[in-house]
Amino acid sequence: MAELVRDWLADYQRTRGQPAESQAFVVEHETDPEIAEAIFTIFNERQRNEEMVHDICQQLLSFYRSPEVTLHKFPLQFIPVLIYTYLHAVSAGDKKASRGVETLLICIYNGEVSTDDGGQKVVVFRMPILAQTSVYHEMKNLPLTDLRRWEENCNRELKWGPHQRIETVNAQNRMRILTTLLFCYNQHVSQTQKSSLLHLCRVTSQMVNQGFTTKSGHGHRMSYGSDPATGATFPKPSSPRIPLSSSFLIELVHAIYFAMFNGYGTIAIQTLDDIHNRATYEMYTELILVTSAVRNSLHANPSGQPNDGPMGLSVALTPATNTVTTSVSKSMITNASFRTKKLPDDIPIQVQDLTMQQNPQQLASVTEEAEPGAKESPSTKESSSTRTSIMRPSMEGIKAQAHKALIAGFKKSKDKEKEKDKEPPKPPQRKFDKHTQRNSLLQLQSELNSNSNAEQQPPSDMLPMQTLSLINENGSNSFSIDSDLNDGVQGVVAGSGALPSINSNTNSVTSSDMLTKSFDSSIELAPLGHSNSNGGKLAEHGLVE
Amino acid sequence: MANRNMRSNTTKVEALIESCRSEGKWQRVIDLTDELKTGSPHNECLANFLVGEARLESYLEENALVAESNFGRAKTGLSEARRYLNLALGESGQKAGIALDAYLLLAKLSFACGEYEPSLENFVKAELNTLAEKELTLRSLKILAESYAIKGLCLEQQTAKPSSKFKKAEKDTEMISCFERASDLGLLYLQEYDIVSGSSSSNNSTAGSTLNVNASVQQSNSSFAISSTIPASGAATHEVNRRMGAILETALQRAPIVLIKTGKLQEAVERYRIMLNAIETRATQSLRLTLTRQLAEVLLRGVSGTIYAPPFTSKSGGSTLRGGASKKLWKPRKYQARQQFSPRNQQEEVILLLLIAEALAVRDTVLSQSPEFKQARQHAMGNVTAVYDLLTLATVRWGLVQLLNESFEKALKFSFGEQHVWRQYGLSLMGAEKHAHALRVLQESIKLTPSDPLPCLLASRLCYESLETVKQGLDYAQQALKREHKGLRPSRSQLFVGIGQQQLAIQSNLRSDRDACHKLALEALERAVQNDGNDHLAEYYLSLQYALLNQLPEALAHIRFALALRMEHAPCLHLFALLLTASRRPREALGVVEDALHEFPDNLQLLHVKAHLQLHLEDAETALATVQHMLAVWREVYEAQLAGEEEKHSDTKSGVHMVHSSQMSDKDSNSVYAASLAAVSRVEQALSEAASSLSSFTQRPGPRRPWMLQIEIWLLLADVYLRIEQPNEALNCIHEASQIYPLSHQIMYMRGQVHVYLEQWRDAKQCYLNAVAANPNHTEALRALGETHLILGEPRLAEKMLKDAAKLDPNCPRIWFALGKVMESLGDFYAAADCFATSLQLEPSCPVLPFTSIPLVFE
Repeated sequence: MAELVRDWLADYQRTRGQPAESQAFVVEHETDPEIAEAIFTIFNERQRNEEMVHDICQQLLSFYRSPEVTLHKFPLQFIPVLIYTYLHAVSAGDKKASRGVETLLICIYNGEVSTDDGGQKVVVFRMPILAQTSVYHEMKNLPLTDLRRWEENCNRELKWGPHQRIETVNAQNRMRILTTLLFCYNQHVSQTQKSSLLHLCRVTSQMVNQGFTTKSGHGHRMSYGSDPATGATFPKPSSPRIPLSSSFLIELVHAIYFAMFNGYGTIAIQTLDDIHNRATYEMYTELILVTSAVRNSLHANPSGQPNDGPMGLSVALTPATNTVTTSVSKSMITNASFRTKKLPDDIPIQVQDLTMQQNPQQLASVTEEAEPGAKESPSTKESSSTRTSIMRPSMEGIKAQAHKALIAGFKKSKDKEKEKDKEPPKPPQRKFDKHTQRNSLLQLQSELNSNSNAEQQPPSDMLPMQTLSLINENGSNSFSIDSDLNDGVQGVVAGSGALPSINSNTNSVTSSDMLTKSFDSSIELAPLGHSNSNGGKLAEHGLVE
Repeated sequence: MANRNMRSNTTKVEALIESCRSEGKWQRVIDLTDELKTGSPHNECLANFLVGEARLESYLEENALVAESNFGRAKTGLSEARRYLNLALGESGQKAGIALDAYLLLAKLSFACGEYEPSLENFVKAELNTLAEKELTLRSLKILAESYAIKGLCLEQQTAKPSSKFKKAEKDTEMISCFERASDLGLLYLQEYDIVSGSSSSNNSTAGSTLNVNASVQQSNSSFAISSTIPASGAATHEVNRRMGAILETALQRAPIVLIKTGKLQEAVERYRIMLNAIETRATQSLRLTLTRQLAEVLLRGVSGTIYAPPFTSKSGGSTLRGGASKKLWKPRKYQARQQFSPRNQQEEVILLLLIAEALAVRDTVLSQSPEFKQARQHAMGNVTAVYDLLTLATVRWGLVQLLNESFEKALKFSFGEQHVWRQYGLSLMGAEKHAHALRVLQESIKLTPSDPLPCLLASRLCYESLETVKQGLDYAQQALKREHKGLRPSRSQLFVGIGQQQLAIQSNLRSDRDACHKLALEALERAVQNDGNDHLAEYYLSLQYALLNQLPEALAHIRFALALRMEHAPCLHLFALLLTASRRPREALGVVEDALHEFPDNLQLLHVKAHLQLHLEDAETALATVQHMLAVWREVYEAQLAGEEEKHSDTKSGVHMVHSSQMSDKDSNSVYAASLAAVSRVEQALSEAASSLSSFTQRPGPRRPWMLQIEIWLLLADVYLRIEQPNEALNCIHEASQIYPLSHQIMYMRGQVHVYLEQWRDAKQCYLNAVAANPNHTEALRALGETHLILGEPRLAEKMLKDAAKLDPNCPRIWFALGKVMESLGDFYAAADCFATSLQLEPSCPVLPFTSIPLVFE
């Protein structure tokens, strides 16, 4: 190996003056994969080849300064190895030995942070937002919450750089410089020889593990008996830990991640574990965030393993048909079950005319309800059935009336439905909207509540007011309607079976007057909501009973 | 093709059959075919074809074509279908124009039986390669798309090795073009299908239109609404899957993978982009999620910055806008909007893709917790965490932790009991410096991973470092220690227990408490050092512990160990310098500090020590230069930060904690005193707010700490000016400081110092009284107040003040000396002698600045 490198050094020296020969050297160099390998080996055994390391650094430096692109890029693949060599020497207090490497690193750094015309290089990118259509998506098909969430990022730009050129490295700027260098390495990593990735992994492991022994550290630990005053008897530990910063290691993780999916899966995963251990030891939160993300993505995850295929990609067929039977998924609540609607800019004044008269009665029935509902898990069917059975005796009388009201209301709503699209919303309807809005604010307090109430709301707006007032005039207890509905509708809308119990939960939690009112409105909506969305079914049900 | 023929004989039955075919109602097709046969017997051939097709498709619907073990069964199950299709091939078939379709279906049948070669032969017979692009019916579109897909898959499965490199390349190209065509046609088919079914099913629009947000917007103004489609969604997904089918789905995903395999990374990326650029359909929802994620993965894993090419730049933008409608019949329609965001570089594209993927994945997550949904829940959770993990990887590098933690916040809704999400959320909150919130989340994380010490340690650190609840932090550290059974590096928990005890000791005012805590701290730290002999931090804290116990030789020994383990560690060097001053070696200390400053030129702590050392060595002029340099450094480091610029790459970020920030009573500081002074801090803050509301004083913008640092520097400068006998300059400095923050006890104390210098004793007394009122634990003010009392002839008051000060800080020789003088003036000479003796004893081991002035450090 040493021979090969020596030839390489000599060849270049010889060709420097002569353009023709140097051209030949460039061509030959480009096609020779072995020389890089040989240089890596020299760096690995640098103790034996100190002189040569120095020469190599010098030659790499002149390569880096060369106008030939292939020569210019050549030294970049050694950045991780150079960094390790340098840090190792610095941590051992042997800065003098690392001068050559340090100079090379400073030069590459200064070169990489500058543009060709001598300015400062800056990488800028815009923060994408979902609120703006892109080549990959249209807004209408994404949930509104996501759209609005990113609006604040609008026009935000993120920058890398500009970085100041430097003259010296000290403890204060060392990690920043090396981080920048690694960033540049990462930009070029897919153009380097694949074999250099192996060295990257190896060197990274050494870097993060140095000074961490699996045994306790007593082996090479000096005794405490020595005289502290003289300071002479303090042998250094054979290899002290290398101080590494969080952002430096994050860049390393990116490099390792690349290696992991480009042929070096096994060793890269080990290296990643090493970095992760170091991260938890140093408690670098952002680094732990990244390492545990990558580690998590490696097991039991659709993202795929490095060995699954090229870049861990594989065909992932939708499993819905095999796993989830349709009957089960009926009552399943997914995030898509929620829809977010735009809230008004300010909270409207509460309109009370609709619900005031009924308040006392409502309240009574609600408090009665609260107990069983609160205890049981909200989505089981048992809860609803218990509830109905409790309700039955007291509500039997009113139920009949309620049914009439319901059917009547339904008929009217049917008629109205045809026109609803053309008609502008009527004033009373708007009042009612305000109720639901109030409601929705309260629902924010508890997810499940909002879930349940919410289902009943959207159709409500489409309903004509007559339906509602009819029920109110009848003085029917809306709860009986609801519980009754549950019996019938359960088969149709299984998921909504337990809704009333959740509603009553809201009430038992906070029993302020305002809350009760809004609660009322949501309860009253319940039957109407069903009647709309499942119109046909409901009508059938009503007739049957 | 078959359809043209069928369209020409537009009988009612045939139209019906055609619609059933496109909707995949195969049983109905078979029934109708009987009618067709009875109606017109010369349609025998067509009937055979239709029956064969129906049998094949319905078989494939019931039996997934995945495992090789199914091939045998498929052969028997499909023999009937094969017979019918073969019947349709003959002369009459050619005439009827259905032979092509029959060949294609036979190829599909062979593929289902695992017979790849015969399948390919059928394609050759069908002359698949020479088909001209023209408009097709839905069913034909699907058959054709599937045919290309099957051909591609067959070519991939072909066992026979191609003879030469050239042949192999040729085969690869053919395979790739098959997959590409299949994906284009497949997407087109799904788009067409949506149009057809959309028009037919618009009456019951709610059914299955989970995506159709537009339609439901006017429905209500409430903030949440469960869509009415929940009951239908299960059936809908089933329906959707049937529409696309496994073959098409495989082909769509396979196309770019094959490209990557053959080394055409750019083309693969381009293929992904084309597929994602196609207008989405109901059936492609989950596919889109997979594709967005995979493209992001490809960009993160295989494309480094320099070889990246932005999307849709190589081809002219015009073709994208025009869409495929005019010229390319077999291309899917694309998104087109006037102001589309088109990524210009890798970061933009990756983040955009991941944001879309996140939105898609989050929508499908399952909230129901009951056991029957477990599988579905885990599947959805897996999808969404995969996206989160990639998002983490892509954003943290750019300091976008804030964005990440918003994502995780949304995720909590469906992440009950998911330890990974909770932990990541906690970590991201820590990263975004939302300390109190982070602690809450970590508490949950601690519960979810009962054997992992890491969240406990993180919580502990939060308590020590940011929340100033040392006791709570110590509890977490002890919990972490309990969890370390076979932990890789148990010394950390041990160290954190030690730090907690040490802080408690420093904070407690009762002697007995303090001694007990010191003892425990020493034990814990000794053990930490034993556990991990290479840990400089443990050595550092052990050294500090010895220093606090006034055992300087041990402290020096351990700080040397610490420095041997890590030479360039500012707090170690800091402590080392202070220890040297406590051993009467101030010149060496100055040397150490100067060397340290060589490595850490912007470290204000070290500069502060340097200035104090220079004052101590009676070199006030150089001290003045040092302090002026501090002001310059402050400006350089913080001015940008205060202007709202987040200076991410600043390497002095960790070096900002200023000496004495303890006594600055700044809540944000990493001070050791801060905890005990939190109440004081609040008083001062309240005073400042009151002041700002009453007078013209306005608080400076930005975070408090940099301003507090500036006050500190001004006060130090005032001190220096007093030493060089320029009280007016000193007053100016104090004035500058009070511009920032008028009611700090530090400023009041310093003002008192100036009055003392000017021998204005009454004013000095008033100032000290103010300082003590603001912070009763400020020993320097107490001492100075005592001395002033003495000069004013109030020895009893002086005695009280000095005894209070001595209780708070028994190791300060100056307090004992002052107390001695007081006792002397009171005529209690024995007591005075004792005090002087104590002072003498303490004096050699007194550092220039208290050891506790070094801020907490965790790195």
